[in-house]
Amino acid sequence: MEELDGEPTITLIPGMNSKKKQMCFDWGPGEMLVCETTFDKKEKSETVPNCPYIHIVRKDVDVYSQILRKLFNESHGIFVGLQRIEEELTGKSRKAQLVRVSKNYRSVIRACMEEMHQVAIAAKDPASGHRYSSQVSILSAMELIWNLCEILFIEVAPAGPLLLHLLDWVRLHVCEVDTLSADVLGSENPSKHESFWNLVTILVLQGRLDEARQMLSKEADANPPSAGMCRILGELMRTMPVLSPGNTQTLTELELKWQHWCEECERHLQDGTFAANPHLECLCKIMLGDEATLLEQKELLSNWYHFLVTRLLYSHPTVKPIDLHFYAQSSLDMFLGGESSSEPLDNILMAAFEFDIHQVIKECSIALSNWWFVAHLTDLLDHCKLLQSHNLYFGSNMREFLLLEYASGLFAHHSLWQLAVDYFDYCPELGRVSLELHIERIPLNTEQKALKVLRICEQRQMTEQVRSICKILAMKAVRNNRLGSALSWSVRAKDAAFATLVSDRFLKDYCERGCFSDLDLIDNLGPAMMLSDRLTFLDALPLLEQKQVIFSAEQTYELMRCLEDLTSGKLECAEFDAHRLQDDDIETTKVEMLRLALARNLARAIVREGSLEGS
Amino acid sequence: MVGFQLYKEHTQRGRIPCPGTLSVSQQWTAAHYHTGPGSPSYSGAPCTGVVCDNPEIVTVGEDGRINLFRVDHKEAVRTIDNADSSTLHAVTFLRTPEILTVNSIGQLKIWDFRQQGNEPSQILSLTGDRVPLHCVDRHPNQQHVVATGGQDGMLSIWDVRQGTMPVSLLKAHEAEMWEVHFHPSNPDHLFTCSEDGSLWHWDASTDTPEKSSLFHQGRTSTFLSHSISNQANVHHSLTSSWLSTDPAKDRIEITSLLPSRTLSVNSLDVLGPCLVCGTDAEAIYVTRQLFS
Repeated sequence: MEELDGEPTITLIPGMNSKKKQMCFDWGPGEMLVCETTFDKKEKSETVPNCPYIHIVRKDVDVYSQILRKLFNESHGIFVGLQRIEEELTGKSRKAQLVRVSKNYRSVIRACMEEMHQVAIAAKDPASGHRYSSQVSILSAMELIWNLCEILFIEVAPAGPLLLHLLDWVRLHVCEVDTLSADVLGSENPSKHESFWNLVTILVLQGRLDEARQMLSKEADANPPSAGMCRILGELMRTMPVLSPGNTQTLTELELKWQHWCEECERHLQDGTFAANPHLECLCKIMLGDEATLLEQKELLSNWYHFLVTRLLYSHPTVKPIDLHFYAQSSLDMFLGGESSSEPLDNILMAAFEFDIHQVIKECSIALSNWWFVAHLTDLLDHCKLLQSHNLYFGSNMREFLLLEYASGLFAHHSLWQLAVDYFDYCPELGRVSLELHIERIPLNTEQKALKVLRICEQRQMTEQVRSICKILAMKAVRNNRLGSALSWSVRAKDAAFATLVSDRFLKDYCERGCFSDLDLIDNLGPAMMLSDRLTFLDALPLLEQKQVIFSAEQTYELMRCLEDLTSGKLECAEFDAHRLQDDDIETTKVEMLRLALARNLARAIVREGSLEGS
Repeated sequence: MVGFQLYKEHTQRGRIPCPGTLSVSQQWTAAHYHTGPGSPSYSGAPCTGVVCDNPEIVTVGEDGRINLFRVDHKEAVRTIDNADSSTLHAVTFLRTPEILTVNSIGQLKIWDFRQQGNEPSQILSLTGDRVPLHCVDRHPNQQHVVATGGQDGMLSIWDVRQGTMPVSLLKAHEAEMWEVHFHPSNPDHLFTCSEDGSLWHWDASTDTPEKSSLFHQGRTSTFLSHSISNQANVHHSLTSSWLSTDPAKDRIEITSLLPSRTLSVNSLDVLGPCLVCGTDAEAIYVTRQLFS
């Protein structure tokens, strides 16, 4: 048995006192049944339980969230699309396609986040508002992690572009800048706004130097004495060497130019160009990557990975992917400063910077309440051929394990189970057998749902499940006296035995009432009647029961004579045999039926012939 | 999924609701059941089809029952119990007061509400396998022309005045056809949706070769000629492209309207240039430029 990764959570069952009473439980496909027992080791057993209920305990509550439903539905489409284009993914376009898939997943997460955020704002009571807000932060963390994984594992950005991607990453996730910018620029006198310098600073921290320059020009206009300094600083900002996409310079060239630029900044600092304005001097220090200055901006940076990226931008812009984790670790340590410990999110990001994919997935599995994230991310990374077959002790690889867990969770839902079917389809080892087990347990409240289940089973040649489901439906139909439906289900299952059962019911009705209740069905059986000889017999019987008398009295007498000949002949050569006895029983019933029908037909024929004169 | 309750909405049949609010105006509970509400073992049955022609509403269900409601009456105006021994899947109005139902043993039955009694006035069916029929729709102008869709995805066109067999059988979807609709103002256009995740536009109009193209790239079109059953002498003054027996002249252009395969398309509706459909992936697709 492996060690536990974390402490298991405790769930209290309402109404049960676990100190006094024992509980018993049983596992189901997606949930657990729990109830109180009357068993007590210490005292003699009591007969009256305190808690009379059976509780259903479900681990996965997210599946019932209205907003997350969209996440499940949309991502299902992306997942299936990815599996289908797998064969077509070749060569250079492969990476681009996989990146596109990754961005699709992320946009779905963002859409959910946005919607959840709106709901959180509009929430009437603070408790649910708080619940939605925490859900938003979880989604935001998921998108943050996924985005980083996309940059490091799927995009596989090399040194140079790596920094640009990381800058985008940070800009996307520290979004207070936009609101702040709107606030400040929207005011009458932007440069006099109390948050003006905060805005300029954070723009510089995020490497948005063009926008920072624009702000400085506003300050220059409003405050002429500082215009000269603003102009010089602005010029430094403009000339900072950056690798732009499509730029053909090599990393070495970039590095060289950047060194020169740093020296120029340093010179200004030494000369005290900005000494008169502490704000501007601070900005210059930031641009030189001065760690102490950067750490003073903790509040604006708000987290250690922002600190990391800013550090890299202004000290090591040509950082290589393999060196990332050094800077990441030191950034985390410096930022936390020994005051607080790292949180799960920090550990996950650190694992990503260390390129330890398995650790990322493991930590995410523990931290998140639902398998959605790890299942889809792992599947995508598997398509990138990044996961060695990490065999778990029960033999299935990690990707399949996570997909199975996720899909099983979906099966508990009355409508999302359809998505799960596709996930099982793409699990080559245990998918089919899992599907077989789950699909038989779906409650079939309507025929339309049953038809969908049957279609799924038939498409996968799951004949056993088809027969079993059709039998259940046919039985239900018989119980509800829907004999036509029952027959329809037994025809679909190609179940001759059941078709016989249904026709027995018809015959029973006929015996009791003396007429057929559902003549429309029997009249129009078609080839279905070949399924069972009982049905064939049924098909013929109505000839004697038509409103219009088909056989005349004379003909009926003839038929009766034939019947007597047949039955007496059979009795003579009957052997004493158990099998024959059963057959005889069936034969006797048929004969009784025929006799009854012939007698009735005779009666009608006599009446008709007696009353009408030759018409 | 349709439960056994009926809700009436303020909008009339076929009209796309304007952005506003809907509220329940009338509710008929226990319209469909296996064992009745009076009994201790009461069990309801799903209502599978509803059609309305203001102020009348007709429903059919898995209990084989047909109900006729009027919007201002709390109770059903007429109920035909055990109208069918199998499940009734869909219903449509023919010439009022006649309706037409389809069931799960492949039969069409015409019911006349003027007649008392619980027997249909006419029964039509395909010979051969009794494939369940899931949907039915009547031609907007020619009230004798009816289209049905079956469990095998086959589209059948019927002329209910002529015999008991369909006029055309068109191989269509790969799985159950859930709904079929004639376009209410352009009845040469027909729309079908299916469990196989596709929605098809059937264009039987016999005008110019450059037919109006539809709104999505990635469409597939095939030309399909009518297959005819043995209806040699079909006399009618109004020709309908759906009933035409000249395979060389009349071809149907079929276009798939959804850009990629989805889960089952369960339902669709069409009005003017707008089409809306819903899928099992809990998505609703809307287009407002059907013929542009």
